[in-house]
Parts: sequence; structure tokens; C-alpha cells
Amino acid sequence: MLTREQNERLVRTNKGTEMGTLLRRYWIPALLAGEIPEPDCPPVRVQLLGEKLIAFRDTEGRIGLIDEFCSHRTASLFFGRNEECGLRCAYHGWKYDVDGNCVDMPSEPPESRFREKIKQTAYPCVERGGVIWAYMGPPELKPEAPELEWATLPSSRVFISKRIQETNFMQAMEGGIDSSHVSFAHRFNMDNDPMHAGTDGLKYLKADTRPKFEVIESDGGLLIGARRNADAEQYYWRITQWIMPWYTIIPPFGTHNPLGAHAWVPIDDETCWAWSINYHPTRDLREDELASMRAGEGIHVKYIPGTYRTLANKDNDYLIDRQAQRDKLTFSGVEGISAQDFSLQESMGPIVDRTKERLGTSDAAIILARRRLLAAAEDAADGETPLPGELTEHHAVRSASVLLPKSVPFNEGAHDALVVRPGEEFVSI
Amino acid sequence: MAEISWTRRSYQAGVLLIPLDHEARSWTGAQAQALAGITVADEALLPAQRRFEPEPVPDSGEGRAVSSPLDHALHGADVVVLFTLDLGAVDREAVSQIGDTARLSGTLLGAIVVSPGARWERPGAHDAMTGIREAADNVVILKDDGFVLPFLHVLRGGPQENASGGLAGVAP
Repeated sequence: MLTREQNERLVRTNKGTEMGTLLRRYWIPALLAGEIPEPDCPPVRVQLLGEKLIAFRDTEGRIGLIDEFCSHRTASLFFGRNEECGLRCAYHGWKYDVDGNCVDMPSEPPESRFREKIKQTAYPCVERGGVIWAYMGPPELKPEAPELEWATLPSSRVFISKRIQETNFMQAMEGGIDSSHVSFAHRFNMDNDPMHAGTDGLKYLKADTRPKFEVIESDGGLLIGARRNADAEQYYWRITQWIMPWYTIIPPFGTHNPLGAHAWVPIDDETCWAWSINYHPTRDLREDELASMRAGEGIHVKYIPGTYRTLANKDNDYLIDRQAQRDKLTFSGVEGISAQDFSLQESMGPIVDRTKERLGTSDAAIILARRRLLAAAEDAADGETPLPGELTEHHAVRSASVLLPKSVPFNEGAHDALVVRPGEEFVSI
Repeated sequence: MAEISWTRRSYQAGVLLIPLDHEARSWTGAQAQALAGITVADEALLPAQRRFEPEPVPDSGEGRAVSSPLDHALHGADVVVLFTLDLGAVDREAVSQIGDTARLSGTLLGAIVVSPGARWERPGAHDAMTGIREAADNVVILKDDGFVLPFLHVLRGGPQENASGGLAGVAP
């Protein structure tokens, strides 16, 4: 629960807002690299943190992310021509390079130096792990490029999808750190999902349906441990990583299945990009796994063709199947783990009124995540650095699922399992 | 200990904070004003020096006799939060008894452990942590005391305007 004022501080991300200032201090997953696949390909619209932008790849393969609207008469550069190392407005021909410099102004006399005074807003980008990342903060505070494990692996080991979610990013992200919903919202899906089936972890998960939670502040965010009784001497721990400001890594089931991760990035205050990533640190993804991910299974979704909007959406009540709900094929009646999550999150409205909620002890991770973000926003406003989640060592972490003696704290017993060891298997049962 | 009154507004939980060590008791004393709306147990409530035998719950599940200060305190609370700033000074037996009593009362039991890194190696710290883990429904381990007050006030619920003023880590 928050005051109305705290809720506003948490959810507003436009330029000049407190949270907007914080989020602009991090590299932002902006678009899939495949959306601008080759030099001089068509530009694409990108909206981040309320800012309408255009992404393009110039003739030399450099990536540009600039204000969507031309500095001249504010026509959209989406309709521009991507040619000869720049994006040219289709209205009067003003042309911009990837740094936002106006490199040609054919509507003015050739001797005019007016173009030198024009600077289109432009943000630096890097391409890593099949994603184009943008930095929208003060240049002097730009951190090192992201080192999340999935962003550092060969493309054959990673599958990434994104979808539009019709809620504020916090609402979506809170679902990712709310471990207690798994036993309800996804109750009847665990057996069928190939990412869970046939593991010891699933056995423990089903045998003890009342996990207890332990949340620990980490340098970059939170460690969220859910423990279940395994036997008289041991707990089965499932450990989620929350990395500030918006990443989670899901605890795995077995080492033969890929790991799962998410990022939730504001499009504006009422919609966000939900990124879903499967990756395996030590092997290529198999064709059957890729086929299932492309088909929208697991943490991925089915789309309305040609869009990033989900096929099951609020306009069709997420294709709820009451018979499947009665037959206990799905708990909520909505098909798919991802859709089960976002259907309930969107049902709360685009920006949930957190003055009305009633949180309990099982919501500890949500409570702490909000407090850490609000505290970091204050630090960002003061120009402090580094912020939690900003350093590359904060990124180089893994989730894990382990058996530990009951007397051993999970962060100690699983210490080595919770950091990235390149080329080494992750720890999971 | 004076009798606890559990009058409350709607959506406001009765939160009983039990400091488990001397340092935590000093901290709650210093934060008395900021802890408005949270009931803080005094040292007399801790069953450290005596064995408390919780009474069995009658079949009806109602009307259970309340016979000790601890039982009495927990009987009316919705959430009990154990709090330690010094794990090495925590009496595991006391924690275990609070856990038993909370379970019989149907009361949620959370725990806040601050700065385990600094004190983790003290004798008894691991043992105390194991006891807390066994007793509590949920454990939060914080680097410092900055988020303790906001966390408690969120658990309390109810109007937050008064609680937000001057909370560490959160500007009013």
C-alpha cells in the first residue's frame, strides 16, 4: 500500500518525473535487433518512457534512435527515407544522421549554415544479445553496456520475444516478483508445460503448496527465496533475482530446460513492453524448444499477426474458457502462463490504485522493490552514482533452485549458484 | 505490560512488533513517534526465561482461553513481526515459542532481520536465524534499518498520510 503521492511518484516516467529520471540512468531494451535488420531498412516507431522516437540503421549499419518528429515542421520521420547515412524527412527533405545532426537542408539556400544550429534529440544505442538498447540519460552518467547473461550469449542460445502490456510497467513487474501467485494463477499448467515437466523441483513444488518466503536486499536489487519442505533435513529453495530497475530471472526447473527472464519497460504510463527471454548458458536451444517458443508457449505469447499485441487481450476477455476452468485444465480459464499473468494484471486497470490494496507478509518482495525504486529515484535526482542495478556486476547473476540443509541461509548455501560463471552449467534440480 | 487495545480503522491491520534483542528495543524506543499505529511489545512479553505452553485450540476454534501476556498480545493481532538488529543476541527458544503461539492464534508471523552481514558470525547467530526461519511465515533481510518503518506501515495498512512523514528512505 502506498499514499496517492507515492503511487504517482512510482508510476510516472515521462521526462522530468522522478521515476523517469531514475529509469533514464539505465540502458533500456528498446527494440529487437531484427526490427531494423539491415542497413537502410525501413525505420520503425519506438515509444519509450512517453517519448516518441524513430529507430533506423544507416547505410554503414550504425543505429539511430531519434525524436520521431522533424525539427522543421514536426512531420513524422516514420515516413522518411533512410538513405546515404541518414534519415530524410519526406516533407521538406531535412536529413538527420544517427547522432541527430541535421546533415542536409535542401529547402534552404546552399550557402545557409542554418542546419548547423539544428539538433534532433538522439540517444546512443548498443546492440547486444539480439536487442537494441538505448541510453536516454545524462551523457556523463552513462553506465557500461548491459551484461545480463542472456545479453552476452551467442544468438543460438537465446530466444527473445516482446509484447505490449496494457498496464503501467510497475504493475507488470510486480507480477514478476510476486512468487506467491504461481501456486494459484498457474496451478494446473505446471504438469503440461515442457519447461517444468519431469523435474525433481516440480515434485517438491506440488508436495508443499504453501511456500514460505525470504527476501534479501542484494547489491543490485532483491533475492527472493521461496522455500518448501523437501525432507526432514532439507528445504527446496527457488530463488528469483530482481535486478533494478526492471529485470527478473525466473528460478529454473532442472538444468536440461532453459532459464527464463523478463524485463518490463514503460512505453508510456499506461502501457509497457513485456520482454520474455529463454536462454541456456551452455548449449544451443533445440529446434523443438524454439518451435514451442515461436508458437507462443511457456513465457511467450501468441500475437495478432503483424503486431506485438497479444491474440488473447482485454477486448476478448483473454479468450477465457470457463469449461477449461471447471475441468481444472487452467485455474483462471485463460490459456498460457503469460496470458494468465497479464489478464489479471490488466484487470486491475492501467494504473492500479495502490492506496486501496491490502498487502500481507507474502508481499514482502513487492513492498521492498517499491521502496528501493523510490529511494533510488531520490538518489538519481541528486545525481548519485552508481545506482543499484547500474553496475555490470549487478547484472552477472543467475537464479537457482537448490536443496539446502535447513540451517543454511539460502544466500550463503546457494552463493556460487547465484552468480554467472561463463560456460558453466547453472544450478537447478 | 499494559493491556493492548486493538481498535482499528477498516483495512488497518493490528501489527505487533516484537524486538528480539536489546539493540532492537533501543531502536524501537528511539522511533516511538514514527511507529505510531504499530504496537511495540516490551521486554516483559518475551518468553525467554520461562517455558510457555500454548493451550490447545478447542474443537469449536473459538473462545480459547488467553492465559499469558504473549498469548494475550497475539490473540488480537493480525500480524506479528519479529525484529532483530543483533542476531547473535536472539534467544531461539523465545522465537520458537512466539512461533507456536502465533500458529495457534492464526496470526501471520513475519520477521525483519537487519544487517546480517555484520553480525552473522557471532555465536548463536545462525542458530537464531534457523529458529526465525522455522517460526516465521516470511522473513525479510535488510542491509540497514532504512526500510523497516515503511515495511511495517505497509503491513499495517490504513491511512498512510501520517506514516509517510519523515520515513527513512522515502521522502514525505
